[in-house]
Amino acid sequence: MIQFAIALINIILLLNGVAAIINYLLPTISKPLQLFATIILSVTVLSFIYFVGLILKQEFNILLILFTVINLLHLYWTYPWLLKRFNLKNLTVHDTYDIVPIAAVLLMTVFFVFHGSKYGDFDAWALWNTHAKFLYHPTTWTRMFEDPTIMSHADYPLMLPSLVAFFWKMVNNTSFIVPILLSFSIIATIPLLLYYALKAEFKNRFYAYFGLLMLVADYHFQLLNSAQCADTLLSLFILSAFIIHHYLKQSNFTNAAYVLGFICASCTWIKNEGELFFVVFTVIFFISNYKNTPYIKKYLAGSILPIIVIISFKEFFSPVNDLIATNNNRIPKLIHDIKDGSRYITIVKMYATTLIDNFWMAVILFLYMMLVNRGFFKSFAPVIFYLMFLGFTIIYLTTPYDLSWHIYTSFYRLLYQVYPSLIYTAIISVGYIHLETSACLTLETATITE
Amino acid sequence: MLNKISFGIDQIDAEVKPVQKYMLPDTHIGFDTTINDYALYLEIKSIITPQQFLFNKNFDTLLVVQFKDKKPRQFPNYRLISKNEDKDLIVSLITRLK
Repeated sequence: MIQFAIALINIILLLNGVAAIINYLLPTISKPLQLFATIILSVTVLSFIYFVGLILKQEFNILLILFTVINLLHLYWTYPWLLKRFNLKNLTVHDTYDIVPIAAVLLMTVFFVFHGSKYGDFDAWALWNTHAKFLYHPTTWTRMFEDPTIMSHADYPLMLPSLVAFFWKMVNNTSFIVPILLSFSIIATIPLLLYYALKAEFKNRFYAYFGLLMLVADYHFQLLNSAQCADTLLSLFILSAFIIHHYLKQSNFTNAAYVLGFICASCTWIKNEGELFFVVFTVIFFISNYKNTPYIKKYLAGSILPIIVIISFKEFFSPVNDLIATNNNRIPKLIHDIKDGSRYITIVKMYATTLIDNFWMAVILFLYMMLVNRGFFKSFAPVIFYLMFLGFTIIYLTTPYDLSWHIYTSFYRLLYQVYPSLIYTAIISVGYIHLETSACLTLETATITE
Repeated sequence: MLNKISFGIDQIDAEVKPVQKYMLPDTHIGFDTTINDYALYLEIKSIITPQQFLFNKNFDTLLVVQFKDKKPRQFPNYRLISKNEDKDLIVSLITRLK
């Protein structure tokens, strides 16, 4: 009980410390978005702290002492800001229209309860939560890497398992409730983040409601939400990255690049696909801002800590990824696979089937964008999506496994990871077209009246 | 529903838990089953996660899961440490005779 209380107090202190940093780095972003950025950065830091405890092979009590020291250190600097923050005069009553996202989350909760399973999908119980159980034992967790079987996937990054293990340690048992609650918290954050990001962007609430509707009304998106896998966490981080990037471009407030770098690089700590996202995002970000040195410097500075964490994991602990390990031993077959035209046809067919079967709303959105704003397809976000899919295609093309099986079991999850970001960037793009059109109409009316 | 049980985890859990307390912390434990199902190994691993449990039949100590509707396998050079069974399964922890 004392352990739980100390951990909880530390989490609250960490949230406040990160809130102070976010308030400094993203001062003009809306309050709800500041709150979400605070939560996202805090859970990432929590995961890093737990990983440090694992590297040092220390029990949870020692980790809590380390955690307390870190919090006391930042409290020394953030104390004046906290006093100001907790002044009751600063409290504001929220907009009554905010009942809509709450209702949406309630609907998602009902879906989650009726369609989710106790232990989640295969990947959740066989991989993510099993890894978490290894991390639950900080002195012997490295035995996770002793399992030579490919299906153990010990090379998977540890953000989700370390968070589950941290909360298991808090409650002092490995209850299945913990991964469920954690998973649900992530699921609830995605639509709320999308809603508040769109609400902050446009005076007309239609766009925010529309974004919310696209997520909540999508059966397959909801189904994947209840899987309890790390894809949901990655989906949240990718969405956050695009929101912060948009804020950076709009506000020109260069400090936001620190947060952007941190969030993008943290994707590598969630899933291996996050590494591809980080590399692609970074390259396109650098190309589009090659004259803007402060952006690049601050982005790199922000990404240093997550990069150190992922490199230390991959270099000193993780075995080689199963795809890379198998491909290294079959170079001639690899060349044959790349030259095989039928594999390309299979890939295209299965991409189309998966898109239409699972994400038909995205297809409609895609067609709508073709009609109203073709410029969208040349903009920052879609270029990142193309390159990510090119990367996935190369992986499928060279896969040592059965091609159809590999696409069938993974492609829908890759789409799921970028789906909220696609909705966000498309609605932002359409919203600005509408704003420009209405501005032109207003100007024409004014000219006629004159 | 959240109480939906995928892959019979709770059944396996109830069967393995009584046997698990006999697994010594510093010994490697192998796995053997009558259906040779890798998913079953992952399922048991997800329940117990003993840090020394591996898909390997060559260790001195083995966790054996036998399905009653399949022909049971014999382990003549082993002695039984612990056994637990229900209407479908027999879960045994056995160790090689010295």
